[in-house]
Order: sequence, then C-alpha cells, then structure tokens
Amino acid sequence: MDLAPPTEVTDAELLGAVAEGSTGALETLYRRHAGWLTVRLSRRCADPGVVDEVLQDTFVAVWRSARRWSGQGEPAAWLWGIAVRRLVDALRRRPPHTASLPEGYLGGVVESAEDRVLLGVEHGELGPALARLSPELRAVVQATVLDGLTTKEAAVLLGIPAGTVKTRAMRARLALRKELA
Amino acid sequence: MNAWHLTPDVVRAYAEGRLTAVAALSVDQHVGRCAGCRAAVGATVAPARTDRLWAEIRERVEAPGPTRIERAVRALGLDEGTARLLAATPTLRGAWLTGVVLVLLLAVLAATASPRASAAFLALAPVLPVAGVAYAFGPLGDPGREIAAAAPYAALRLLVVRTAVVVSSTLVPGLLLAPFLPPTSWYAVGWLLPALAMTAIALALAERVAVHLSSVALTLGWLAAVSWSAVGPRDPAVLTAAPVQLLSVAAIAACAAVLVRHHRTPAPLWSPR
Repeated sequence: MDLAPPTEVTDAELLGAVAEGSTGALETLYRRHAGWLTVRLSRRCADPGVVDEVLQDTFVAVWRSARRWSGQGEPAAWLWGIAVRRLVDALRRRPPHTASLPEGYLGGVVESAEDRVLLGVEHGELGPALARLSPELRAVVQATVLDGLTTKEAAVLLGIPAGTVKTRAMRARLALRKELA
Repeated sequence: MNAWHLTPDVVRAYAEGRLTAVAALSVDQHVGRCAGCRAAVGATVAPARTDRLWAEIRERVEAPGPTRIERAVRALGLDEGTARLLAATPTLRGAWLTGVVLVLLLAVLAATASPRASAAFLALAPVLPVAGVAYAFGPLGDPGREIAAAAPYAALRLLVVRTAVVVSSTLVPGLLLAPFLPPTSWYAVGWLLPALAMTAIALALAERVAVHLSSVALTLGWLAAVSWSAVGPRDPAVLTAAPVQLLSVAAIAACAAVLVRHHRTPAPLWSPR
C-alpha cells in the first residue's frame, strides 16, 4: 500500500504552528495522528476508556509543550513517546491492571514464517532473535527498548514488579547476545 | 526507508488485535516511521470516536489557562479546584492590594514624621484584614460565593483556606512595612493578634450578623479604642500591651471553637442577607 501523506504541510511545520498557539494546526495534527495512536495504544491497554483519556491527555500535552519539541527527528516518534508515557501515568492512577493488557501483547507463541519475515524487514538480524524470545521477555524488550520506557514505567505498563522487569531485561539481553554472536 | 508497506489485510488484523505479538511488534515499528501506513492504520478507527475526542481536547485547550496566582496556589500542594476558587478571592486583586499597601505606607510615613502619629499605623493595620474578610465573604465583592456555596468541600476547610488567603493578603503588606516604623514601640508586631482576633470575631458572628456589618462595628470599635488611647497623656502602646494580647488570644480560641462547631453541621456557610 502506498499512500501519500494527506496534505503537504509537514508534521514539523504543524508543531511549529501549535507552539505559536494555533488550534487549527493542533486539529490537523490530531486528525493526522489520532488514529494510529489509538490503535497502537489499544495494543497496550485493552480498556478503550483509558485509551481515549490517554489520547486526550497526549494532545493537551502537545498543546502545552509543542515548543519543547527539538525540531530534530520524527514528530510521530515524539508523539508516541508522549502517548506511551501518558498511558503509564493513566495506569499508575488505577488499581493493578494486569487484566487490561491485551492478550496479543504477551501472546503469539505460535509464530509464522510471515512473522519472521516482518521482523526481519523491520529489525534486520535482530528480528529472528526477537521472535525466539519467550513472550514475557519480548514484552519487556518491547516496553524498554522499542517504546523507550524506563524500568519503572515498563513495570507499570506490564503490571509486574520493577525487579522482574530488570531480571527479564537482563535475561533477554543475554539471550539476544547469544543469538547474535 | 524500505519499500515494504503494510497490506490491507495486515492493517485490518493489526487494528483488530489479531496479529501475533511478533508481527504486531514489527507493525508498531514500521508505523512509527511511515506516514502512509500510519494513515492506513488510522483509517480503521471510527471517525465518530476521533471527532468526539477532538471536541473534548479543544475544550480543554481553549479553556483559559491557570493564572499566576492559581499556579502559585497549586505549587503549595492544593488541588486545581481550590486553586481556582482562591484565585477568585477579591483581596488578591491588584486594586485591593495596592490600596492596602498605599494606606499602610501613608501610615508609616506619618509615623516617621511624628511619633504621635504612630497611632495611625496602629489604627489602620489591624482593621485592614477585617475589611478584607468583609469584602471577600460579604455580599459586596465575592464572585466565588456561588461557587463556594456549591463546592464539594468541607465548609470548614474552605473557610480556613479562604480566610488564610484573605488575611495574609492584608497581613503581609503590614508586616513588610512595620519595620519602617520608628523603633520605639511594639506597634510593629503588636497589632497582629488584635487583627486576627477581630477577623475571627467577624467570621464567628457571621451566622447571626452579616459579615460586613459586624466588620464595620469592629472597625469602629478599634478606631475608637485607638483614638481614646492616643488623646491626652495616654500612650497608644497600651493597645499592644500584654492584657490586650492575651484577650486577643482568648477571643481567637473562642471564635475558632464556634466556627469549628458551626461548620461541622451542614448549615449554609455564609451570612443571611
């Protein structure tokens, strides 16, 4: 599928306009990014109410801190960084939520050849190694490395103690190193 | 960037949570870097949901931001609602504060010019907090009254917090200016307890007497006492002497007890009109 970006204004320009106080630019940015952020957040939290709340908080935070965007790198990644931290904040305010983590996040033990190809495309040599990690270890790698969360934040997201996150991350690192050696 | 993109099948499976964890991991990563696939994934979310959320975001974004006072109050650890309510306290308005400072400044200047005029400071400093309470809690100046009446706070806590703001907005200018008084008397601090006592009395009476009326009465009483003490051979310092201070402490304690007892009951807080 090859879709052109919906308009010619870049995300970086929109963020600049948001920093100047343009709600119009915020709306454009929101309409461009709300969808995939919703889907990606839903993969980490099964409760749609929480996802909606997090999405709102995210764009309110963007509105307040657009001028703090460095202008470097991918705005989408910056948005995701805000969203996933807001998600952690939202989960922190709630009672333990292990049940709200969607099954897919930890599941997928049966991996297909297609999975391995997808992983190879996106992660290079790391892909197949990631695929062979146990779901628990992979979830930790996803939270700490790919989502860029701290140990504490990952613990909140995954609903496990921070110590467990640490040991699993260490085990995952060892396993990956062995695979890639 | 690579030439690989999500197929419609993969997009649908991803959005519906049907991808295996490993495949979803790859899609996550790809979507983070590919605007086209982001749009494709985004299109799976119901527009009604996106629209509804936008309406709420716009409301939050366009709401007036917290004022400087609100931010300061929040920094002290109070919640947003309390902060907004306090920021609406009339005595925090610039005009009121300027008035307080000017009046006290004149009194200090008069006192430096002639020691006898020290009585002017002693007369004015303590009645300002009382006037502030009358202004803030009376029917004259309180835009927060309606909110306060409906606010889901314990009435006592609300009263204490608001009074603290009102009183400190008048006491602080007084305390800052007091050191400039001629260093011959206890005036500089002696007025504090009488001021607090009068404030407490006005609030404690609020159940029976409208707060602005009791404040006027207290003010007149205090002015009369200062005038009486300042004429003839007497020294106005008598008003800052130990008996008055003790009396003030007793009055504050008694009024506090009345207020606590009254506000434990759910009767409406503010005075009858």
